[in-house]
Amino acid sequence: MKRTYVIANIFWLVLSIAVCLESRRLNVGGVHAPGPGFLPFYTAILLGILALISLIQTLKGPTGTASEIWGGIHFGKLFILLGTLFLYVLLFNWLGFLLGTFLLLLVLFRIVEPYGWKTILLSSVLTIAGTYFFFDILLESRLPKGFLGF
Amino acid sequence: MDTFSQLLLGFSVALQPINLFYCFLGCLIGTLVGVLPGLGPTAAMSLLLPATLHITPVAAIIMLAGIYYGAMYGGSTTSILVNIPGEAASAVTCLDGYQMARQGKAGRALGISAFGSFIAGTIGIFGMTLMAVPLANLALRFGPPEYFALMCLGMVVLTFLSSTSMVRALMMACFGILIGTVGTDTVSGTARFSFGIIELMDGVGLVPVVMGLFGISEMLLNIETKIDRDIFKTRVKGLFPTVADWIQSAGAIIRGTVIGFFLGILPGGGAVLSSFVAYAVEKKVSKTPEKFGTGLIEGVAAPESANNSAAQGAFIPLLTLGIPSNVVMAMLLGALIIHGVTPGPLLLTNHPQVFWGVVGSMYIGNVMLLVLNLPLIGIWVQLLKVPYAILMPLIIVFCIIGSYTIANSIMDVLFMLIFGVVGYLMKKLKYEAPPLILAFVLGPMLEYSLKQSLMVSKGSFKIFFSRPISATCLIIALVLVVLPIIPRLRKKRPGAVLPDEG
Repeated sequence: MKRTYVIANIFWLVLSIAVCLESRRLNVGGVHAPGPGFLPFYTAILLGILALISLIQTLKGPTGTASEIWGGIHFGKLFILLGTLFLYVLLFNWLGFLLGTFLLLLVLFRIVEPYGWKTILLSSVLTIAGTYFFFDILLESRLPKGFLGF
Repeated sequence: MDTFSQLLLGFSVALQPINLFYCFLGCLIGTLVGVLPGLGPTAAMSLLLPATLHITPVAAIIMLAGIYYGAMYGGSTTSILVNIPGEAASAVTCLDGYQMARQGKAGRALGISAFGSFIAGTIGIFGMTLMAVPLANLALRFGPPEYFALMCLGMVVLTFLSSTSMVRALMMACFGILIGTVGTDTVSGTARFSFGIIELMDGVGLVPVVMGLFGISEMLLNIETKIDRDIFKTRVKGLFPTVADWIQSAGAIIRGTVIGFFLGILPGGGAVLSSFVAYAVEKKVSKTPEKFGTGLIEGVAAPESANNSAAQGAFIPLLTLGIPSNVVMAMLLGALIIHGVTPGPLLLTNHPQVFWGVVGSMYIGNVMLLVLNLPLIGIWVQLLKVPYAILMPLIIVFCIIGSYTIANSIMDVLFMLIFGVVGYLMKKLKYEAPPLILAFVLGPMLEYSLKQSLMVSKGSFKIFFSRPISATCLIIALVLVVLPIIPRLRKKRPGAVLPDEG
């Protein structure tokens, strides 16, 4: 557990340094004429100081175990869910809303709880129909059509 | 125009059929969101925000406001019947509410919760009606230094009340400000942190950030564990409290209302804090404090009254000063800006129909919620039986569509997913989202006020301390930052058990 928090605090430190450097490139300016990098620069400095304080507190605190944070997690399900969602974003415009979301729902209903395929297909079709009707037809949100024309 | 005439204007706006419909819709969705664990009012409002672009600003705000105070009503149902809070402000209701249900008094618990909420909500709206005009007049004297100081105070109070480390909460506030700087600087026109990505030139949208941090991250967390819902199986009957219940609860309702209203106004306050404080006060003044947690009706009446009056009180600084006092109000601020309405002291003069229309709709919405929450209790109980495995994919799809339809851009969905992963990691590592959201929303205004103040003072920071209101706010903020450092006072920091708002 301690190692996880140490890594997190190092991440915040690195982020604050990166933002400071980029803010200087943007022009920090001075108190008489603050530039576009003024607020990000000083906020990043504050973030860096707080990250250092947090790092010191972490190093002085109890060790704990990694299982307190990551114990008992279905990493497989988690990565499948994330992978599916990012793949969906990648293929969304090509597949279109109807086909893309239908395929997404098949995966989602399956991984959350392994229902039978009849239940999954019915739930997916009903969800697609309902959301398409509400958002595309009622609210005229203009959801994209894919390579198949729908 | 005096307050009474303006209120009549408000009712004339709120009673228009279209606004009545959206008030009802907001209350219904709010109750639904409150009943169902896993989806708070903030996520629900972010989900529906894109849909409100097709309607008038008044109707949009009426509906979104209805979702917020509606969720306060609905949250108690699942707290009492299932011992799982539907949303954070009803967490403390579980303590006595569920025990009352186990003793066969579920109906009376639900009844006193609904009636207490109604009374507190009505008094809260009345207080809002009386305070709005004087506060707006006071706010006209606010300049950039006062706004800067008040926003700093709001962020610091929220971090002070965080349930874990104040250092980490302040880090989240800093992170929120930094996210808010992404995009084109309004003063110089310089692109900041957009790295050539066109979709980032206008900054990161509020909806993808909130949906990601609250909606998607919650789904990622829930896929790890199975939520077991042990729904209380006996039929709920006898929804009207007895005379003895009323006598026992009257004091709790009044005290909860007053506590909730004033804590709702304070920057950093809100329904969650109010419910916990009201419960603690009730236990303190009770002749039988040891019985709290065993099924005392005051233990339900006090927090439920407090969270409803806080929900009303929270609108006051948003609508009169333009400063949100908590995360949900920050969402509403974002919604108002998207609709081209700038909240603040000039809202009452420039858009009186928006302000008074919302106030009028709250009186009406409060009555609607009483009707929705008592006779329809059977329907809400059935909803609780819908498997979470069915709800979760639906929520994800709604989040995706909600993000996409803001600008018909898949990049907003990508940002939502990224913030979903960020939110998930934040929850695992106990970094809190509310300070991040509040700072993200306030960041651009904070920067603008800071720059204006420094230009007026020719670069001198003394301007913040030479003006009484800004000096007071900044000194209080400084004290709150320093307090946790003092070991003796560290243990007494009240935020230790507060869950996230929304």
